[in-house]
Order: sequence, then structure tokens, then C-alpha cells
Amino acid sequence: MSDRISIRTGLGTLVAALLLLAALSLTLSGTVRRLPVFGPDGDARLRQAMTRLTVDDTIALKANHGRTAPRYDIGLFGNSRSVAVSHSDLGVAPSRFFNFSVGGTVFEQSVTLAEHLARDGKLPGTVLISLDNVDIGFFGTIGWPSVFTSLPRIADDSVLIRRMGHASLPRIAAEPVRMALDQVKAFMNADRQLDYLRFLTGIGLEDGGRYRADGSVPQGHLAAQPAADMIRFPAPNPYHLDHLALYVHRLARLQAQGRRIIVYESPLYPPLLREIEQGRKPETAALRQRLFAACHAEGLTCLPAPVLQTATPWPDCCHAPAAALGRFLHDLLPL
Amino acid sequence: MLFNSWLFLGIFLPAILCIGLPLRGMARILFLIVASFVFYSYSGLEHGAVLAASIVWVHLWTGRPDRPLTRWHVAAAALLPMGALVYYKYLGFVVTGILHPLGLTAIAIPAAADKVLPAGISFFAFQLVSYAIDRQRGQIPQPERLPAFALFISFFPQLVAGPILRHHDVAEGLKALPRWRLPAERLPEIITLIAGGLFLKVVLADRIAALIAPLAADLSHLSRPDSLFVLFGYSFQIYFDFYGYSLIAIGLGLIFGLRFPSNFRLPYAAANPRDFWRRWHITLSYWIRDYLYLPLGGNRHYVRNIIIIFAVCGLWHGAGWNFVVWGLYHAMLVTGYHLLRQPWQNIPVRLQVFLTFLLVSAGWSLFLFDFADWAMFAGRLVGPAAGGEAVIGPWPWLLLAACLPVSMAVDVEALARRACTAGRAGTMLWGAGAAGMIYASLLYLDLSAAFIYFRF
Repeated sequence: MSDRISIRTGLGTLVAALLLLAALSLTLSGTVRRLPVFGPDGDARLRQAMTRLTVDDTIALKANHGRTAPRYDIGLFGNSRSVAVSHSDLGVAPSRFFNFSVGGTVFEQSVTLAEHLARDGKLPGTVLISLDNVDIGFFGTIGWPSVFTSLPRIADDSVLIRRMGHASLPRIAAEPVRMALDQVKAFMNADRQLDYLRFLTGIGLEDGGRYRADGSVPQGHLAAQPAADMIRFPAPNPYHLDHLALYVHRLARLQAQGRRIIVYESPLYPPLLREIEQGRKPETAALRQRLFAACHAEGLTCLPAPVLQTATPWPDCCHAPAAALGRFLHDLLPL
Repeated sequence: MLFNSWLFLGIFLPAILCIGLPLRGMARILFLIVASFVFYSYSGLEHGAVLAASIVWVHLWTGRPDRPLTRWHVAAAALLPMGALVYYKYLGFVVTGILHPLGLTAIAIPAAADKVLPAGISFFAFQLVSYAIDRQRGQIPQPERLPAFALFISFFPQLVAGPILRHHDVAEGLKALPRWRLPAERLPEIITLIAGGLFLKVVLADRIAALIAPLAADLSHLSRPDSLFVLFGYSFQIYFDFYGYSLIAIGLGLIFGLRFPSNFRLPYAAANPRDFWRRWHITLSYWIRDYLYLPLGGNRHYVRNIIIIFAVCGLWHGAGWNFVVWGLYHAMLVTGYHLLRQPWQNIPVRLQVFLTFLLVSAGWSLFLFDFADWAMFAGRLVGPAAGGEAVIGPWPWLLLAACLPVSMAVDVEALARRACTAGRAGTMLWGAGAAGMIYASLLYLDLSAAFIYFRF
């Protein structure tokens, strides 16, 4: 075999083997993401061990459930601030309810997930969406679906954002690259691949005592007394806030399909909420104004953070007790 | 920036390949200099400034082709790089490790002691000094022009942890660099070196490190079997870590036609301590031989010179008494072997290799621990009272057992030179093996740590 042919064979094998390994990993991940975990027939053992999976795997599992189960009457979307609300907290039996919230995600993730369900005709009749309090603007991720399968949406967003004048071109261009790198990094991870194997084989699964069949997660330990650090909070994240008007626009498009969509600002520990309202910064006040103006213009119901008066202690400043939040949400639902 | 990072592998290296390879002439050299400084300045802009100043300074003193260099020129040229090395690396140690124990406590710890050591300062300082000495000795008759000289020192593959280049190692490559075209025949060798280096570092060294770290952090409960695991585990870790780095560096150099000298030649297969130093960190050994040992008189004052050069070698590795003691320990091994050569050679070769490995491994513990911890570790290892129960199970021991033949028999550079030359089946096996190593390395990349020798 001549040198050149030999090198071609070697390099060809290398590339083919790399592609094969990547395909194996993707198959592994894809199989795990299609496992029946939620709903009355879901695998309770896997559900208990879901703490081992990443945020985007969890979103994918919930999305898969939403697409394969019969359409729910009520769906709650959001992150850790809403994930604790269960069917009984909401008190809507016999209506069918599923909590699509996943801790660690941002508002855009909820919007994107809702859009995916709508595409399959599985968006619940009533959609409740938790929006992180605008004054606090928590950080989070949008990890699903992969940025590589969302390029048309990202391009579409970029055009809209540019038209709205909310972000510079370099920032718009850099964001998908950053997201792509983050997703590749998160996927190419030995621990994650091993967790997939554990999930598929059932070997070495740990009991995390987590997700319920309705997608909610039992709330952690509730503090007996509100802690002093309840009123410390991070700075707003302007990037995500700049996009709020766009997300509102996307939700309005879904609402036009005959669904009822209610966006509510996540409640805060009442003393903190009072403090924020008394000393609201001009820039966050302007952002709130922009958000609610956009909701009004698009005909979307957007509610400011309620004052949740409850005897139940709060676990921290920004995660309301599930029962109290459930009652508040119950009152938002149509009779 | 680290070779074993997504930033390097996902952005920096592709950019270098996409821009650096198509460029020709001076544009390529200037691009590689800028890229190398970007690479280096990730450890701090100030560090990049130190490097740049040292390069310009040494070139000022050595760059005149019409002027013969004296020893004074060499001393002047060495002043800045060695001064920076002393300032950043040794000043704190001189004050706290020497002056304070002597009772001179009024002398304050200099500000440099609190600063982060510029990565690879020991490497580039030695490289700069060797260039000045070689110029003075007439071994470099025609000085490099500033851009080529700057690239010789700052070229990113070797900048932070060697191999310590001598000008003659890469003189031809530097000359050809502006017109260099990467031939397809080189690709298998380059891929083998980089994939093999990444695998050794990310999959072997860092996995072993993850097993050792919790044991080394809690010496009070360390059992004797676990102490042995730490001893041998660290021995493999430091080898795979540094060998892995060197392989990647050599592979990256080859992309631009620069063949760096080998830094390792199966050091754990050495049959005696002297043989070990001909196989471990070879470029440092040769540097010390040529610029310190021989000028001191070489074999004429063997024992004295061995003690001096190993003390310097220890100090080169780190500013601390543990490093000095490590150097003196190796001086003792080498001189001991010199004195006992005859009886040593009478024992079976395999036993010689094993004993050498044992003695060298014992020495590495001085790299891992400071003195106080080392004493405790030694107590756990050989003392009467062993700590708690062994926590290391059979699988980690199996991993170490697998490392033994790898470290004693796998010469990645030799394998790389033969890549894609062993018929169709062998070539396909090479492709699958390289892909496996690359993929495994990428899977563990996020869990990977900085190279140990970056500290030096």
C-alpha cells in the first residue's frame, strides 16, 4: 500500500471511528431522553434518580412526556420557583395537570418548550408561565433543544431583536456560538455518559427522592424563621431582560392558536418585595414598564408579583411555599 | 491557556490551523508570535509583558552580528530573564525560607511572594540564557532577527513547559518556517502525538490525580496501603502529566515544521538513577550538563558537581526546601550508584529497573507534599502506626497496574513515527485507536486540571 493511500485509509478510519463514537453517545442520550418517566405509567425508579441528569436532559424528558401523553388541561412552565407546585397544591382535580418546570432554566426555555408542544398539538389548554421577578433577573440556561437544531429559530430571534434595537450585532452573533460551545462541553462529559448508561441499565442508580409523576418536585426543607440572607439577591441580567419583549411576542403567537396563556411574575418573600418596590431602580422600573407594555400590546395576560401572605415559612427569598403558590395559581385559572 | 481545555482545542487551535497554515512569509511568523502571546497572556497580561521585555532585552544584547560577545554581554543579557525568575519565583523563598529562619525577621516578604508565578518562567528564562551563551560560544554565528528570535522563545507549544529548546534544535525549522507547507505524510505522526499526549494527561494522569487528591488531603487517616497508592499513583501521575504535555508540544511544533527534541525516553524503564536522568526531562538534563556541569569541571569533581547540579535542579523545580531536598536526594542516588556500580550491575536487570522505579517514586513524594505533610506521609508509609482503613479498592490498583507496562514500554514518539505504515489492518487499527484516545480525552476534558509542570 503506498504511503498516500495508507494515510488516507488511516485518516478515513479515524474520522469514521470518531463519527461512530459520537453517534453512539447521541444514541445513548436520545434513548434516555425518550424513557417513560412521568405520568401515571412512568417508571418511578428512574424518576427518583433523575437528580443525576442534567437540566437539558430533564427538559427533554418532560417535553417527550408532553408530546406523547394525551394533551393536558393545565400546564405550569418555569424553573425552580414553580417546580414544587403539584397537582394537589393547585387543587384542580379532576382536570389533568403537568408541571413542565425545570430548575435552572430561564423564561426563554419555558417559551421554547411551550412552542414545541404547540407544534405537536400538545400545548395544554391553559398555560401558566412563571417569569423570574424582573427586579432580580436571575441567571439561568436554555439547554433544550440543542442549539444545532434551533438555528432557524435563533436566526429569526436575531432579526427580531435587531429590529427592536435591543441588542448589538456582535452580541447577537456571539450568543449562538457561546451556546453551541456550552452545549458541546456539557454533552462531551464522561460523567454524563456514564449516567446515561446507569439510567439505561439501572445499575448504580441512586435514590434521589425527587420528581413526582406530575412533574413536580417536593419542596426542600422550609426554614422555621426567614433567614437574614433572604434579602440578598444578584444583579439583574440585562441580556435576558432585553429579550423579554420578544418572548412575549412568541407567546402571543401561541395564544392566537386558541390557548389561554397567563404569565405571572414569581412572588418574592414579602418583606423583600416591599423593600424592592420602595427602592426600585430606574432601569428595572423601565424594564418592567417595557414588559407589561409589550404584554398589553400583544393581548397577553401578564401579572406582577403577588404578595403571598402565608403562615408557611419560605425556604429562601425567592422560592415561594408550594402550597401558597398553588393557591395563587388556582385563583388565576378560569372557572 | 491550557492544551487540555475546550478553549484551546475548540477555538485557539482551529484558528491557528485555519489562519496560520495558509499564511506565508513574515506574515506567518508575526501571526504565530501574536497568537503565542495571546495564548500566554491568558495567565495574565503582566506575564506577557515580562516575556516580551525579556525577549527584547536578550535580543538587544545578543542580536548584533558584527560584534563578538563577551561573558559580560551574556551576563547583561541574562540579567532581565534571570532577574524576573528570581523576583517572581525565589524572593519569597529567600526571605521566608532562609532569612527568617536565620533570625532576620525584620526583612519583609517582598510583594512578589504574593504574586502568581508567570507560567513557564523557568523554561523561557533558561531558553533565553542558553541562546545568549550559545551566541557567546560562537555556536550561533548569525543571530536571529527579532521576529524569528521572538518566535523561537515564545512559540506557544513549548512556551509554558518545554521541551527547553536550544537554538540548534530548531534553527533549520525556523529558517524554513515562512515557506513551510504541512505534508499529508506528517498528519498521522502529529495526530498520534497530540491524541496520545491528551490521553495520557486527561484520561490517565488526571484520573489518577482524582484518586490521590482526597487521600493526600487527609493524611491523618491514611492507611499504609493507601499511602502506597499515593506513592506509586503520584509517580505515574507526574510522568503521564509531563510526558503528555511534551507529546502535545512536539505534535503542535510539527504542524509548523519545527521538530522539538524528545523530553522522555521511557524513564521508568531506567536501570539505575543515572540512566533515569538520561531519560527524564532530557532537555533540562542536557541544559544543566552543558551550561552548568561541564563549566564546573564535569567529571573532574564528580561528586561535588553532581551535588551542585542536582541542588540547582531541585531549585529549578520549585522555591522550597522540599525541592532542594528532592534534588539532593537524587544527587545521593546518582553518586551512590557511581560508588556502588559494580555490585548494582550484578543484580538482575529487572530488579535494577524495579529498584530504580522505587527510589524515584519515593522522591516524587517531596513534590507532592511540603515538609510537614511529607513527614506525616512518610510516617504513614513506613512508621509503626498506620492510620485508618484502606479506602482504595481493587479497581484503582488495577488502573495503576495497567499504568506500569504503559510507562515502561509505550514510547508514543516511536509509535507516532510508524503510524500508518503497518499495512491496511495496522493502519485501520491506528485510526480507531487514535479516535478512541481523542474521544476519551474529550469526554474527560472538563474534569482535567492544569499541568503539574506549569508551576515550574
